[in-house]
Amino acid sequence: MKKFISVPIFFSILLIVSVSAFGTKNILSFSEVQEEAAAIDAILLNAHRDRSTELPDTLDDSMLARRIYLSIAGRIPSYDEINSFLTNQNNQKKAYLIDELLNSPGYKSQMFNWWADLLRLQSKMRGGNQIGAGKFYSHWVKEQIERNTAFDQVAFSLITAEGYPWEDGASGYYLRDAGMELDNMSNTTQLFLGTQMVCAQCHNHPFDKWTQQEYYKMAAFTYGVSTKMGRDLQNKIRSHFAQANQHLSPEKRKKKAQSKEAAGLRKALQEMMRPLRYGAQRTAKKLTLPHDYQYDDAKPKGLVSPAPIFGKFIEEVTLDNKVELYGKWLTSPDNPRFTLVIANRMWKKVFGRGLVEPVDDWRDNTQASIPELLEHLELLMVRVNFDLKEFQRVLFNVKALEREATDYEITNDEPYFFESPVMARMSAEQLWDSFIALSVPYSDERIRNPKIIEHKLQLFAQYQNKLEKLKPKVMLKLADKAAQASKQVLKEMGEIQEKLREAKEADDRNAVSRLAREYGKARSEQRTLFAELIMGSDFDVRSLYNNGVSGKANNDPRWKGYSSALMRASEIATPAPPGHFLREFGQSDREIIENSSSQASVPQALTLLNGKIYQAVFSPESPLSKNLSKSDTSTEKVRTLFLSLLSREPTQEEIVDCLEIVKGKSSIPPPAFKVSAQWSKAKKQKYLTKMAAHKQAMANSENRRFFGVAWAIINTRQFSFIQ
Amino acid sequence: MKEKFHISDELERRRFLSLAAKGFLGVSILPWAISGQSHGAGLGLNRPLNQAPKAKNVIYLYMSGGMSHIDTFDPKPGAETGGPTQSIGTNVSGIKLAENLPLLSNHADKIAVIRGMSSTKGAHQQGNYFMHTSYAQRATIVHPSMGAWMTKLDGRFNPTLPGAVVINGGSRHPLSGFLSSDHQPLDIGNPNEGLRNCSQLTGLVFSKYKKDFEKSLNLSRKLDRNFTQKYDLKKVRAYSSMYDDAVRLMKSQDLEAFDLSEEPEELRNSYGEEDFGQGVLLARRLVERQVRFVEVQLGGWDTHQNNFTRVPERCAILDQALSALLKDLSDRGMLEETLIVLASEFGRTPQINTNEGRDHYPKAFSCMLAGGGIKGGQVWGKTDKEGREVIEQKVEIPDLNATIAYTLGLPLDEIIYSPTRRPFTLSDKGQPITQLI
Repeated sequence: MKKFISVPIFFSILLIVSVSAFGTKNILSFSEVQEEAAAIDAILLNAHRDRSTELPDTLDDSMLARRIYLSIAGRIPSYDEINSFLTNQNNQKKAYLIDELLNSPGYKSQMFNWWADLLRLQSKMRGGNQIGAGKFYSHWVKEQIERNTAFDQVAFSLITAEGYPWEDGASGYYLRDAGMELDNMSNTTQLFLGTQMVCAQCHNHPFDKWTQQEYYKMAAFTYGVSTKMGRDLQNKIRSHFAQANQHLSPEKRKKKAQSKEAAGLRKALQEMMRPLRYGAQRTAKKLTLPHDYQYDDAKPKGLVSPAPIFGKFIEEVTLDNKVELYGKWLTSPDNPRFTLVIANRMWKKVFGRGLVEPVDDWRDNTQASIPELLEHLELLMVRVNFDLKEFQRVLFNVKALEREATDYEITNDEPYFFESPVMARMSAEQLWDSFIALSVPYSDERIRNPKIIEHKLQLFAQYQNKLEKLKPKVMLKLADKAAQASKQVLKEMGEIQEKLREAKEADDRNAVSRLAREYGKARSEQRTLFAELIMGSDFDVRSLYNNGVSGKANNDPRWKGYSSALMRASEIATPAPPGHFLREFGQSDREIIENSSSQASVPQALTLLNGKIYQAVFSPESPLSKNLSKSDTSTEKVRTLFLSLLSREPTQEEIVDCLEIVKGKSSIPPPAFKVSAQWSKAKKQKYLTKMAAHKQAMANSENRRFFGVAWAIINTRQFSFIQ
Repeated sequence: MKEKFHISDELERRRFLSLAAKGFLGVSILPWAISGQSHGAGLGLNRPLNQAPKAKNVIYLYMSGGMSHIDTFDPKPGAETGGPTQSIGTNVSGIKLAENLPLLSNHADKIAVIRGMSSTKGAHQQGNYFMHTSYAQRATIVHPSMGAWMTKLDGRFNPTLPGAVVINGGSRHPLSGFLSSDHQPLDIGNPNEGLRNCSQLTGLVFSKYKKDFEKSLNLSRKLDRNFTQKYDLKKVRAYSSMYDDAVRLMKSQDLEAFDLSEEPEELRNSYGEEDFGQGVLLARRLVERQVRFVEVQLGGWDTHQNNFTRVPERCAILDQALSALLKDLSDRGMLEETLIVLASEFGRTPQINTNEGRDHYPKAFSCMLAGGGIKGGQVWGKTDKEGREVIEQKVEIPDLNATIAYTLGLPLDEIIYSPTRRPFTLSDKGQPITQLI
């Protein structure tokens, strides 16, 4: 990552570093957070007084905790967590909970989902998929969340990314739009400047003021960033060839180049360089206007010089500094939109709606519903140095968050004044992660082993290092050797391909899948052969190319016996495959910025009525089942279900309603253990084991009587909506 | 269809009565006609209403990514822009298709090729949205897609199956837009899996005793009473109505429509083994049971690179499925009542780029209609020698959608208001091409 130079001096005076109770560095002290939140309260109070807005009731502790857990940890609170919050007598317990959760693994997981939707993170990405660049990119984002890197720095690193994905994971920002440099620019403005320019790519914008010329001028800053790498290596080889063949006549040279040997050699070289072909590299490639450019302000195919669309003009742009200057212009607090846009997005993240809507289509005449508040948030964002965690910390302490969600329709074209958060369905990730928490213990901590991706990063770096150091002569020798050695396997691959084609034509599906497997095996054999020739036989080729999900769960005894599919949304492939629970509930397909949805659908209802997820939630090993086993009366079990699922106590009436459908007789208390003193140790042991199993089985069947109630609760609107 | 009683049979009867009334008496018993709203009062377009529509249902094949017109329905062999793609003759003299559609060429007598499509939206999202809704994408409203308009204006014919279904539609499909959620098309990912999660959790949650499910469902409603009263919001109500639909669906005998394994192996294979072909077959099974509008998407048409290897691959899938569908429908006598539409967001540049690809090109492209009363064996519209400009019978996207609506006898001038009181009509200001019918 590049060094980041910014932060205007006049603001840094405000910067106060304090240390919170959790040992991590916070910019604001506990009391300063309260002061900042109070300042927002005051602005909102004024806004509500001016409009005589009716204020909703204050949430009770249960619903407040549920809201905070869902927003920060990305899931509902567990039975133990909600109990401990409800019984806590401290009058600042809300503020403490916020701080605790912001420093929990759940927060990181939740923030990853937020970033993934913004950046369109895909495990299998457009560019560099063969080497797993999508995973490197996701890993890089996770690292930034782990370090809590400031938002402006993340943006700057993305724009100025350079190198191979293992050198700079942020290069994924360009690889994601490989071959589409122009689209990449309009994604940048939408993402960081809340400005829609995409229409102006082909013609002047019909609804906004942007011209095609302006579009191209903006694009010219990063147009030269190429996602094709390894040119230096290729040139090295090329000039070596040229030199070696200098003495030959042109015909002979041509003949040699066309020979079978040369073709094999070229193929082998290509194979050797394959891992080094994708990344972000600055080139001198120049942007010209399209051939059918139709406006008078420039000629078709005219050369475009970079210029920003608004804000301070960028002076003295050179080929070498243009990307950096662009990055600085973009992320500077002086940029007219950068800070406002992220402040507004974060407000939306917490309150369910932006002060400006839509959050990514700002115009010159855009007005916030409460302009003073937006101005204030801009200052706050600068005060906390673009630390999103700190910014949210303030917002979560705002009084309006303690009120019941709005109970009237809010439409897009009327301003909303934030007397309370907007009523919303849980996001796909919140729902899934809540089910995971009900099914798997310590689910927030269950992450993919980061060592696996780090190992992969290392392997690529080693490979690059080795290959770049090879003298052309040695490289050719190796390629020659590899070409010879791989003749057999290449022939085999060709044959398999031929058979595969035939099988496909004959529609022999069994043969197709068998042949596809064989081909994969041969391919990996060929890759191994190449990599071993270059790196030596003890090199871990498999991890280099491994295309599966990077790494299994930590080999931790806490999750022994729990399916590896039961991990939080941030730990499975991004996006989840089509048809997955997450996609069914509207997880973004990561094709377009902020593409998730919370629209109702029939398959969603079917999933909650009959879905597979219940096998995990109701498994005897699930935390839900275990908590249920611990409660020993029927009423207590109903209570446990309400607290585990709805985060609240049931009313007397609800208990009666629930018990009505619980059928069968209670088998509690279980028979007492009778251990005779005369028994041998072995016999005693055997008896105890048997009785334990018996007790467990009884507890399970006892629990099963309540699953109909649990199911009924999960299928309520109050479960999936956040009040 | 099986001997078993289907709700759709009863509906078929009612539908017949309604159509008969519309056709013979010039009146309709459908709600939009008796609602008292004056058609097109605000538009003054006075577009025609098809008094004797033949089409009842639509199978809408959407080529996502932008289908190259030059390499499919509008070949330009010999021209520089034509690339290596050759043309082939069809069973209708005078109509030529690209060589990539060999099977379809045997069905040219059933199809109407529209070569004069033209749009202004050159980005995927915007183009896709425009094709589906006839309106430009705005950040403040989502317009309904055709399937939702259809159930809104003409009702659902099968009360247990959804009125419209989208197969492999992606997460950005406009679906029912601003219309209420009971017009929401059902979105299915994988046609082979059909509709998942349709059977009760017997064993895990419920005993074999049938009332268990009902009891729990009632408890669920009871527990939610206060909440749903307090939050009487559209998005909350939407879930309640989805639940009602889901429960109805679980009990529906027509659920078997989603089970492709009921089809003979040979017929299944004739549609092609890819998801798309199986999706098209599923579409046929659904319209057979009176699902009004089924959309099936085929992706991968965004051929910026290697257009001339990738388009033939896509075409092979399309060609097989579409030809099988045409044959299957006409074998069953369903082609007259089923309108088949083939659409895409835009065409691709006649100019071949340096990567042997073609880029986005909304100015001129092709679509196709068949069945549902469409006159087969015709070509509408023409592009110039190089496929760059429409030189005859230009068709804008709203016109195409108006044509679809016209074949179904939908009222083009009926105004529907969004919740924010903005007036909209199906296919905006599009004019139907009545000559195609």
